[in-house]
Amino acid sequence: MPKRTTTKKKAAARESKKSAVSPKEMFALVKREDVRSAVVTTKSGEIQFQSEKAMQKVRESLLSFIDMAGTASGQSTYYDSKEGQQKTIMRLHDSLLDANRGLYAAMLTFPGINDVHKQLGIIRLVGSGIGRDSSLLTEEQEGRLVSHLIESLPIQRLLKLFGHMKDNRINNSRTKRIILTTVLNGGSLEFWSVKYRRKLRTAMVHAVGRSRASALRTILSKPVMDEREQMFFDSAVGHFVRDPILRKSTVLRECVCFILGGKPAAGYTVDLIRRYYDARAALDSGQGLPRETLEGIRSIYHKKEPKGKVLELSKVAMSEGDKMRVQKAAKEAGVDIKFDPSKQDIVSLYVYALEQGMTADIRRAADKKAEEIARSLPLSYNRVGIVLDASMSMFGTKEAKRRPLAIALAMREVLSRMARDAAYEKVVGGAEASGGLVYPQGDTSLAEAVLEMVERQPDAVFVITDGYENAPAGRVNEVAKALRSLGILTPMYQVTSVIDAGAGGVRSLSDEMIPLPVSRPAGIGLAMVRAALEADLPNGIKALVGLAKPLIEGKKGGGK
Amino acid sequence: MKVTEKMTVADMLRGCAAGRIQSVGCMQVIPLVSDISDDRFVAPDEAEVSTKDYGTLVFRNTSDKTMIVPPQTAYVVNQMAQDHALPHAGLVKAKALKAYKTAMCIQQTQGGLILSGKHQMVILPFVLREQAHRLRKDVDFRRLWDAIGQLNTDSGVPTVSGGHLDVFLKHFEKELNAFVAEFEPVDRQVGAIVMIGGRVVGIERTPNYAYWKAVWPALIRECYGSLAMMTEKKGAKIPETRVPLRKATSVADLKAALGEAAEAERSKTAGIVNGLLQVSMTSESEDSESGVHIDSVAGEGFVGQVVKDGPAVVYGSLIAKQEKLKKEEWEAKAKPFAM
Repeated sequence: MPKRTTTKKKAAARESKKSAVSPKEMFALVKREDVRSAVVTTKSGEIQFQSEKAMQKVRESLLSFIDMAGTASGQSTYYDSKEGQQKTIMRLHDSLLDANRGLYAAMLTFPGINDVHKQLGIIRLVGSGIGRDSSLLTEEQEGRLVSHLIESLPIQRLLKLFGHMKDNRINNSRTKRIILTTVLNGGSLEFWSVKYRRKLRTAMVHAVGRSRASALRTILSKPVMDEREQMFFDSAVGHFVRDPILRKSTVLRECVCFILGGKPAAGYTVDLIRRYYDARAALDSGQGLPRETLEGIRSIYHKKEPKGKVLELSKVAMSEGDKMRVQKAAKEAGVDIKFDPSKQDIVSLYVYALEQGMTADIRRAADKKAEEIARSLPLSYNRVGIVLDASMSMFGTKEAKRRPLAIALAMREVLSRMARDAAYEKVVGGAEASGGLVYPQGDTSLAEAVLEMVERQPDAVFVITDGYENAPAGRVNEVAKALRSLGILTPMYQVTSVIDAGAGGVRSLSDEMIPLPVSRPAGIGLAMVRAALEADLPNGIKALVGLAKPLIEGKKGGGK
Repeated sequence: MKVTEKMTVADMLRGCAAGRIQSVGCMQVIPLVSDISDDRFVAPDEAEVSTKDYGTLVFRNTSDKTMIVPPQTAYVVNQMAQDHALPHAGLVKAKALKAYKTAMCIQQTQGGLILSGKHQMVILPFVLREQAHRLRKDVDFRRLWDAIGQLNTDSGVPTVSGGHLDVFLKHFEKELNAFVAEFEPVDRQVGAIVMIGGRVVGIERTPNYAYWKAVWPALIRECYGSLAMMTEKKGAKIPETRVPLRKATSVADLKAALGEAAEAERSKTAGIVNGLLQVSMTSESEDSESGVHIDSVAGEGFVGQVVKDGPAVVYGSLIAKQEKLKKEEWEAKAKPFAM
């Protein structure tokens, strides 16, 4: 037998088995009572810093934040662990928040920021008071940005966010308002109730408080509410509903009752909730319920029914994204589910095509999306050179299979459309397939490809890569430096869709290349802001806050 | 009856050709590519693995092909169970279960048995492999603890807890993971010659393309990656087998310089590798299954194991002996005396 394990050693061994930062830790708030903003504004509105050292720190925080916020999602990459990524993410968020919370809020509204960063940002902004911090924004202005951030998140992410708010015990009046207005005014209360019942219950109980939630459940289960009960319901729930018809409706009362776990004396009359209960007796009665909900019912009450039946019954309720995601399972089950490629984002189209093969419909939709994105970007070229790294490390991970390559392929399409006259392309590694697809394969020898592109004298060269070069490492840097010493000043950009969390930014191929970290093609604008900040920090910050001005002033369409 | 034969490194690599060299830091990998992909064999990445008692590692081969377990394969699991390693190569029949009582515990103070399931395989860090090979026939699950403890001490792992390989792997997780992205498998690859600091430290050959893809992450991350990492910590520089670009006068000249550097690197590396091909080794049969047998091989500077099907080497794993590496390190540092 092995030696007896001491408690301390057992704990150490247990510790060593932990694989990642828990979601609770990831979204935990850091106490920041004595933080003094490094960035301040003068009366004339100029940007100033507390000291030269503070300016350097802000520069570092901002640039690293941009590198990360457009790419990292807290998942493992081909070469970095989830834990490493998550720790870096938390550190960079706190660092920018400390620099100036107004700047932090403005930064989060920029197009190209991943949803996970918006979630982390909302938690930090809502959960910490302004205090002595001299923010670039007033509390009201910041509130508008927070509202915009919330509106930009899909419901499943919002519900996760509300869960994190509960974990962090953030239950101020602002939190209550955010939760209830979001849940009750989303336009899909009935559908959300059956799809996200448990998460909605957590959010709602957190918002109204345990005892009020319990009282609501009791009165909503009664056949009729008396006047006092009605007033209580209105103040606790109805008050937050904007639509006057919904405010007085049975749908609102039954949905809230269902979410809180009550049961009306006369049973439910709302269609989807009724189907939810009927499906327990007969699966067919659940037609129109969300797939996940129906699958849950099938796995408990109808184990003998095939999974394919759930797909058939729930297809009418599927979103376009869902329809695309279930194609493989639907094909295997012999269920015909059509989806509209034009409703998908370009990266999802490539992920799908890499898995299922390219079709004419997908190709058309991807081309159209690429055109639209290229048109929306603030710059264009006459000629561009594009080097695409399709080596094995671009494959992705179990969590995000094919995603780095899908982003790279989408970027290639967008960048080639930014050229008015010609776009030259070179694929390094990879196995090219029909329909413009490339499958990851082989080593990474980018230097020769960069040189080939430069020889064609484009206005700019874009190298789309994860930054891992091996044949040999450092060769691109040698070539880039040699080109500069020959007087060739063609701008070279490194477009990277993955992050090296340890380095706090993109793994750079060369100092001569401008890093453009992206997680989706539209985010390349964010990368360009990075270049502006690097050149002139005070004016770059002013411009950044200026871009969020329409949102700060309560108008839509800011941050473009 | 034990059969002892002679073989060379060239015999082990027959049917392979060298691919383009991959170089990052002090490590270089020469991919071995081949048109021959012997699909009769599978790697243990899909096996169901468990421990029956301390020192007994059990493999369930669920495939319909013979499974070759690489020597020094280890399982560091996310269970409250003692991690284990197999010091020698293994052969498991198709759709069969095989228990090896020669396995070693690699997590000294952790109790518990590994539950059967698909667990991620690792290959022991390079510095442990020679010792594990030397002790491969012993039956004592504790026999690698001291070596693991020494590895932890030498690599500066804080709060060293004796023979805990998991602590080492956890501590250097990020550094080791980077090697997987840095050294990528290529088309038709079945093996690799691994060089660190301009010296050959390992030669790996597998039966087919899928097998190679399955074992490469474990080889490059835990086995050779750990050695490269420790060598770099000691201050190793870019090896002499790497050639920098010469100064160029034009873009066309720069292109030519790229080709010249690649050729010069290949030539320097080939000189070292070719010098090893005729190294003579003794090959001694130790186990057999499904018509193939495992031989242990040892020659000047190398030890390891091969799986042979008659004269054909279908699998081979050779590592440089510590003694050889030390000698080469000394010779590189101390130039020969001359008056």
